[in-house]
Amino acid sequence: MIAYVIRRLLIASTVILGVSVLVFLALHLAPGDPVDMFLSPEVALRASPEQIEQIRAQWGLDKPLHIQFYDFIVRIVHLDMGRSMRTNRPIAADLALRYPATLELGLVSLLLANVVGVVVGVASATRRNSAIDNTVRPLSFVGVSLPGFWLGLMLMLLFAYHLAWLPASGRGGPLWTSAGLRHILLPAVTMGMGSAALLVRLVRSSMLSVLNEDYVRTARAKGLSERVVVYRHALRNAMIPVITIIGLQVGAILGGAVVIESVFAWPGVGRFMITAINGRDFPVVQASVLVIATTFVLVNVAVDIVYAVVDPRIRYS
Amino acid sequence: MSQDTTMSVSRSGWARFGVQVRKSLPAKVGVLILFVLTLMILLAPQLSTHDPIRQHLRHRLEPPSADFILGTDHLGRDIFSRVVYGSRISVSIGAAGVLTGMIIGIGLGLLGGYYGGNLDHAILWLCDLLLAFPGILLAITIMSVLGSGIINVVIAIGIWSVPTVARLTRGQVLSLKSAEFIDSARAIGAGDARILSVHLLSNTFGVLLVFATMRIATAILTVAALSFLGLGIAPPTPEWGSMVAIGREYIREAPHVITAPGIAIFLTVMACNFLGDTLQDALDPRMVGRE
Repeated sequence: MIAYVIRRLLIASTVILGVSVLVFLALHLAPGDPVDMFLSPEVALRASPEQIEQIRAQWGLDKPLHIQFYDFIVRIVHLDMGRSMRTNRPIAADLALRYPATLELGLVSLLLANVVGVVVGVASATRRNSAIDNTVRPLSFVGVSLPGFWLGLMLMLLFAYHLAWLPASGRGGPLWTSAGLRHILLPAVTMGMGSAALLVRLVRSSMLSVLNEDYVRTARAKGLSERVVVYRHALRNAMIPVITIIGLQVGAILGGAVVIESVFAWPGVGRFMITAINGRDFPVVQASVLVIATTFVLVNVAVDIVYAVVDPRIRYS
Repeated sequence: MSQDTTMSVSRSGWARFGVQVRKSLPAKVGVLILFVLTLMILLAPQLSTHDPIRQHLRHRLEPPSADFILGTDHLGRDIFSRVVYGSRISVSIGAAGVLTGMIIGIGLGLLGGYYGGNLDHAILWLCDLLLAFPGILLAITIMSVLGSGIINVVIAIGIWSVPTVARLTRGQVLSLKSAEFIDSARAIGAGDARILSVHLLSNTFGVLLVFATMRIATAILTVAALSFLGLGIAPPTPEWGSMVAIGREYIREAPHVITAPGIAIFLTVMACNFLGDTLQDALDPRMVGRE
């Protein structure tokens, strides 16, 4: 088991290293002079050649590429991600402030998506072709097809502006406070919608195939109540394919965070990054991309390790 | 045995697709929406009631009326005409991006799966690397470097599609390459190029077609999201995502500005998903009778 964990971590670290290379190279693969990425358009217009050379030296862009890369990696290993070109604040400190907000929003939407996905999926499968099932199936297609940013705006229009039940944007405070909960509800529902719809379809089809298995028939024949049969016997097995897509769900949610945080002015890493892109603050963009991708890779390693604990066959494959 | 795990588009596959469309309501809805969309794309100049870029500043943020069927935006531009013209931009960029990704991804997947060894390892590692950027993040990163613009969005969507297509193709090739018909082809003297292009590619076509249909749906969503964030297609070009981004500023006073483009994105994506699902049921014999 330890060997498996070590192997998995080694693979993950090569991927993270590769991501760092890509993020570093992005600057140099861009058309034009890399120093352009460190200048806002208004500065670029009035900057003298000397000023441009000064910026080039300040960011080490005058050194050979391999030295620049070495410096980049050394800084990252020391969790020094440089300073924002706009605010001149240390980027690592800014990210540390915003990371918990993204994590909180991600976890709440993941939880919502899974609860809704499993409950509705099971209800739909156990009442096949009923009114519930016939409503849920087309709705699940609607859920995966809605553009998140538009859904977010529509929910905001309805619940924040028309009904005035929930705040339109921002983070209200810790999750355990009423303000915190009220603020997170709209962005979390928006972000979880796609995953919930996907899960409903997956749980439904997985449940349907499991409900036809012999052991389910045996459980029924033993006289167990339908609830026990469904939840204790069928659902446990039906969840296996569902668990395998948790890694994918986390990806969708982390990617979605970048967009949805911007819609709801949620003070997380995603919004930080989009603001940086629009302000041409490239070091912040690099650091944010790196943080989100690393989180995603590490979550996948954790998920893989959990599978290996649950299902020993995986360790030896 | 390996034949069971792949989908080939045979005549019976298409016939089954026709049957599926006739008996499934979502499939019919999907076909109908795509038909209307095709009309919009082809007949945009005839269908639109105004020039999509022309500003009517005396008619700013007007609600739907006889003159402006879906109302006007903050510059008095006709939303209906912009949605109609926007179909050309949103759908063609999504489709072109997926096509680019498919061509590169299929090439990498065929080579990796067929030749194996270090080449395969390198391709897999590259895919893992690109897949480490969750969801839209890869496209956003690429756009942050390249800057907005139609060609750049196509490139971003293309690169974002490559790893998934490559892995899918590689998986299909691995399950097919020891099949008897490949051995037979080799026995009668077919070279690698012929086996790859004729035998392996044609037999993975079904899976790839289903994937492409569903991927176009996701690509249209991604293009719209990029434009919404200000990274995709810049105004005044009528693009559905950027129309929502503009309308967002006026959401309280004129919600109709974001309603129409949002519904257009949603219906197009849903139609592609419906169609992809129906294609999958029709082309994959294992699915028959499941529902």
